[in-house]
Amino acid sequence: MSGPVAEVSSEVPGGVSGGGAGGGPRGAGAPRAVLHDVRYSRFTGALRPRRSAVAALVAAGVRRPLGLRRSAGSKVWPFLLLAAAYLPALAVVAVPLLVPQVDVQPTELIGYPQLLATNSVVVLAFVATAVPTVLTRDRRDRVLSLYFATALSRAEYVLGAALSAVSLLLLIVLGPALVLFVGSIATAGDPGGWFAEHVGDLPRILLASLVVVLPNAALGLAVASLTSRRIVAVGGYLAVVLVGPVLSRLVAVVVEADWPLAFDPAGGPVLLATAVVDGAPAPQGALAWVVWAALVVAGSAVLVGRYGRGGDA
Amino acid sequence: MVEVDRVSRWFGDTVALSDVSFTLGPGVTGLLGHNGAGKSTVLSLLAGSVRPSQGRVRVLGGDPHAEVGVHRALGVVPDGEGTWSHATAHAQVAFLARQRGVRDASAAASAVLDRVGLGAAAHRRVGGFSKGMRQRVRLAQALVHDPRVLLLDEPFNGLDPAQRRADVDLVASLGEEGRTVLVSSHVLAEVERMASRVLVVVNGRLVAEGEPAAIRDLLVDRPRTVHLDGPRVLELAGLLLAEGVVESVQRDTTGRGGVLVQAPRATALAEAVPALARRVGATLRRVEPVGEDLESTFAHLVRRARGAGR
Amino acid sequence: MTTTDPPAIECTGLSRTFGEVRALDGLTVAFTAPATGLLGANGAGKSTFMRVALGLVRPDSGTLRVLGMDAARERDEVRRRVGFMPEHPCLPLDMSAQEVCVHLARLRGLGHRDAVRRASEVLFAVGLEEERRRPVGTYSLGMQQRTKLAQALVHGPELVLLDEPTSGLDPAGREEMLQLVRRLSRDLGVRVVTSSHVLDDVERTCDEVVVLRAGALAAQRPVAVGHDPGGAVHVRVGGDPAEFAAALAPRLAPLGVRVAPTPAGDVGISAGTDAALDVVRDLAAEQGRALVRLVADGRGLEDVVLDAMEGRGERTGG
Repeated sequence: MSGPVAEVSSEVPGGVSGGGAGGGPRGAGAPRAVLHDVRYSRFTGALRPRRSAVAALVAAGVRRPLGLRRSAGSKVWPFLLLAAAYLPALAVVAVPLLVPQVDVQPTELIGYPQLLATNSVVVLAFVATAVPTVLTRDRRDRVLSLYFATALSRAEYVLGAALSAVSLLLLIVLGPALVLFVGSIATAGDPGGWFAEHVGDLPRILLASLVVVLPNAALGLAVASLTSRRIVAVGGYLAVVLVGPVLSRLVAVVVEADWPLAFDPAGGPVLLATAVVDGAPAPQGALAWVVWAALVVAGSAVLVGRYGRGGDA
Repeated sequence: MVEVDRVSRWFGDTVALSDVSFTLGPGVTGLLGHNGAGKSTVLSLLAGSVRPSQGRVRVLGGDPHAEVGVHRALGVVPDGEGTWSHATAHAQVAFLARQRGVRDASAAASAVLDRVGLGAAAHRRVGGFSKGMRQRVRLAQALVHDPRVLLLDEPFNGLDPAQRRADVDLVASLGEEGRTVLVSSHVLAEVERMASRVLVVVNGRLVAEGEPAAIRDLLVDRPRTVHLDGPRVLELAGLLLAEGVVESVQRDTTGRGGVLVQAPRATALAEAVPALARRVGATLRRVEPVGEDLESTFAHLVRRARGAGR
Repeated sequence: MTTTDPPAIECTGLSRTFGEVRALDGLTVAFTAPATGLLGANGAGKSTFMRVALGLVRPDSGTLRVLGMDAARERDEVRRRVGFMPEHPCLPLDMSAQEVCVHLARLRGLGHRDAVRRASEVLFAVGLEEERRRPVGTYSLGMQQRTKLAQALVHGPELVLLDEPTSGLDPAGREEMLQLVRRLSRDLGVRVVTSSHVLDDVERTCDEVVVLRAGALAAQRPVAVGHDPGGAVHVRVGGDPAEFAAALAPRLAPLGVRVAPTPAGDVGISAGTDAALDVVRDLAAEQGRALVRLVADGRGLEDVVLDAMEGRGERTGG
């Protein structure tokens, strides 16, 4: 059985340095030897504020689905998706940069709305495969009772999970848009001027990204909180986002109106985001926004309900 | 009733059992060994779920792997789950009884459930049972067809102290009824109480078999330690040391007080103690040999098998 | 530990019902010993009690204080000072022991450097060496149990709750775990509450046992039995015990002590006073007999605990 590395000094264990031992009755002067007690002891350092703990949780929640610090195999699928998300933007930026004869601004080749639209498939795939991991792994490992008893409050955990999911999705949605923006600065004839002219786009890009990210995060987490098996969460989410559009379109045809399209959980947010970017009103108007808000709120409610005090976790 | 003859078993590159031979007769035999040392392999071989790579296994004269008939008289409680949540305890046990050809399956099921202490809960769904109760259902399943040979792998997992004690008594009584019972357990104090014989497996080989006390007595190179306590016990210990009766004296630090003395020969120590205690005027409130239990014997067997190191 | 330290766990009138089952029924008890064993039948309320103490379940009524703090209201404070080693598998299998300890330390509020340092110390203390960098999924059961213990200790708690710490371990693993737990309370000053079904384990690591029955306290007593001068004593001597008993009886009669054979075939004397024991000793010396064994026949811990679990016998006290 392993024991202490150094013998205990004559003092009570604690801290890193022990007191002097040698010396003896020699009187004044440095001791001839010192023993240091390195055994396990109580932690006497200062504790960081809670936001540091939540940050650690969020960091872990983002690393895991991306396969960081794990085997190469677990990185394949997530990085494939990331590549698919960034490729259009990178390509569109690279062409004018590398081929000076082409004098077209990247944003003219692909507008932000189109970027969002092409990325929506990647978003779907990412939410389906990566976001549930944020919750299902902990459930499957049965680590939650340990967390809630000795580490985190339920509120901190839910907050951390939500921030992880949102961060992951922003990586897919906001990232490429920023690449487009920054790339455009680089390729513009007058970078400074272009920036000054388009700086107002940034808040709209951010807002539009959030418009897409929030309902998807809410939906993905809500479905994941209902099960401990990732495959069920994935299936549930896909069911909603694949069947939803079809249903809403069906209803639209039957009713011969456009408003059912507002209930499309996959396409709806994208349309809203486009509207935000273009500064135009939403196609289905206020109804679309209501549905959007309902999705976010309902998803969050399920999440909180499952992990709250009365919930099942 | 059970014969294992020069059996070896490989799993790919690892050898789980190496040239093991023993026979089992009526009564309870304990099977001891570390995790991964080959115990579960022994049980699997006897249950017939695995075939030996070399050697022969015979249960009641038949090959458990090849002959189905053997299983009519064989009861097995394996490690791990084996119950269905939706059926009642009675239903599950009766079903298995019918499968094994028991005549009045329902009555047999009720009787055996009573015996394992589940009489009151017999008609409740197993899904609602605690871990310990489910364990007892599995025991009932193994007993319902009145088997002559029983194989029990960690049968007390999840049982509370009262249940454990009751089941230790149950297993002991099964042995007294003339059945051949092989029990594998890590809690050696309980094995000592149930089993009259033990088989000790270390690193895939059989290192000892027989009665625990007799095995212990065969280990002649064991140090014999005795716990002494009473007023003036320190003086007694000093005298024992001075007279060369004991080789070392140690204060007992586990909180009970007194001293632990080590002697090369136990009888010489026992003979010297009364006279020397009287000489010194030490009252003997406790004279207790330490390390005479199965757990110490087992630890010594492992050390001995290893030879050097650790 | 001074006597002014608050009890490790203390509750009054604790009650909790799940559907129709009364898991806790007005439980009132204080855990004051350095290491306490928690025993009880399945369904007696042990796990519910632990879950309330850990803040995972709210009681219907009554109060529970951990280290002097209210378990429900001061939850955040309690979390910092308590460690928990669950019985069920609870470790992420793809992380190494090092990563698990660092991660949990950070979630508990330690900075990164502190977390790494503490993880290293605590993994060494439980005996995990090079294997600490491999994924937990590749560990043997013994190593996984040690990792669970390490994570319970990494933030330096004052109190550790262990649920069946030797579950599934083979005799060598059990021995090592029990020594670890004993060191925790003896040398490292950490208060320990162990819930276990194996009495032997509790006897070797705890100073006191608390037995629950039907959601209430059934018995609370120290593990070690003090010397009882009036209690019976069993003596095993060399040679024929009957001869020895026959010579002994008249010498003990004046002291009012009787001699009778024991079930194990030894010589039993009814009262082990020092005077009587000296008579035994002197007779053995005179006759040149070996004195093989002399032990008080106290009611063992097991009997007391089983009686309490089944509702017989003493209510409290030792």
